[in-house]
Amino acid sequence: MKETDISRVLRARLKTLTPAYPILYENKDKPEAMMRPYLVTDVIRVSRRNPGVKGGASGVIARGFFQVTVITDLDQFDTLALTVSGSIALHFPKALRMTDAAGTVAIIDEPNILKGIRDGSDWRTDVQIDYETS
Amino acid sequence: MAGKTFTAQLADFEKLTTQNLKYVAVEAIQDVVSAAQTAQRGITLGATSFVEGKIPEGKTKNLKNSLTSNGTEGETSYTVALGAYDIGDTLTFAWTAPYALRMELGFTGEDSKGRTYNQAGRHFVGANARKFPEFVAARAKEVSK
Repeated sequence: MKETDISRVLRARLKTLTPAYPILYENKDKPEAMMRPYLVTDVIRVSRRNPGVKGGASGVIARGFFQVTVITDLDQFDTLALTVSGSIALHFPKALRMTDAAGTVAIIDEPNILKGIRDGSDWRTDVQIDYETS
Repeated sequence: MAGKTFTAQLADFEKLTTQNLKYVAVEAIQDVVSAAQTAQRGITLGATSFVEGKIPEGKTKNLKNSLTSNGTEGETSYTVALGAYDIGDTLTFAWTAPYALRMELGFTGEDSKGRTYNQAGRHFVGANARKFPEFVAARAKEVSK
């Protein structure tokens, strides 16, 4: 499975989150008009390996994690940040398999919701979702 | 082991296994931390691109030097901590620079001085920590007979 397909599948799944929030993708600058709460995505590629003897593209197993950062207002209770990050985690449960013509992306563990941090003008809560392709 | 009693042979084997376990643990942990400490040129030195899994290094190397291993700070402090490691011990590694977490996870938006950032995370810890099972497998092969 190509890396571009992995990103597409993960983003497509995030887009189906309800309620929906604005999404800022990798390498995109935040538009002035984008209001909090919004989500920032990052697909971190950890490894690509092929355990098969023959090799070949179909045997490649790519592993990594999908980081979705929930951006909320400063100086507020973290209820909204935890609600949104919790709904993202529920939207990517362990063993979820997302299959399309390019292959399958499987969620290999329950997503981690990291501690929220104050950074600049935002309160940032990261959700890290480990995946593997097959 | 020839000429030893069966009990003595078992004792040797147990010792060897413990040594091997320790070797695999120490080397695999070191693989993670040394991979995290592998530097890439930082933006302050003119870098226009980056890779995930390597620590950005500026003029001062503050981030890399902020690694604190079991309470001792230093770029290579992990080697000392691992030298004293034994199976069952707990090791802590922390990058204590004030901006370490935002370099790891990324940061966007405006800071207190009005500067706007759209900076992706370098994930020099998270990406390498997730390779731990692969490092263990590789080191275990070294001691498999």
